Amino acid sequence: MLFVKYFMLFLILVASVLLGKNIARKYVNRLKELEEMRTALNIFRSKVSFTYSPIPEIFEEIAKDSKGNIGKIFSVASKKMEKVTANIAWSEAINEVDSNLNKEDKKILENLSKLLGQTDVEGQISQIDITQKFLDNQIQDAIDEKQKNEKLYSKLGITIGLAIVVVLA
Amino acid sequence: MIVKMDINLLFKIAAIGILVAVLHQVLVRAGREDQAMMTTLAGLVIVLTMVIKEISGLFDTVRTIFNL
Repeated sequence: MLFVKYFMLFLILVASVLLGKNIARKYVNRLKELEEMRTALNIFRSKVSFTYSPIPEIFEEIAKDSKGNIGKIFSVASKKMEKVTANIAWSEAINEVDSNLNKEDKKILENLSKLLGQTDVEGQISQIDITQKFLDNQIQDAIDEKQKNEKLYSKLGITIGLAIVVVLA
Repeated sequence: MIVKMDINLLFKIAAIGILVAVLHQVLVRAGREDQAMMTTLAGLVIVLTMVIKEISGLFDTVRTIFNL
């Protein structure tokens, strides 16, 4: 009976530590995804200006190059473009893929879709530039938040787990 | 009459005290002073609920000693 009790307490401790680490990892992942998105947009920009290949093809190539959720966003968008227009496909893909980006990031990326596939090359490139500028702000923001919250949440998980265990023991 | 208090209770309170102190420090470092305050208060309340039995025991003893 005693063994079961201590086993349960141990499980509670492990669960709360993992929860803390999970929340902390969200901040790290958001930063990673934002940076990944920035490089992906860079690739997109150079491909639009130099190769003149259609957007679905470019997206497919970017999806192959970038990993994780960002790659998923691009591949979903390029698949959706077979049925709907580019801007709808892009904004739907951003909202559908389960990424660590927050609402603000998504809104900025959605703004990219307004001109996607509707203007000439110059217009698209300037739109991509503007989006990248906004993304830079978001990356700075994400760095600040990561510094503030990453350690906090992992420590918080450990200490709260220990506190629960001590109170229940 | 000697009432033996459970020594484990003391250790438990000490452990909670240490953990609350650490929590307070962590939260203050992260710039969340009000939440640090709340955790300290919560720790106080938890410890008080743990010792309330002992306090009532103390009052009972006093009452029986003076025949009140």
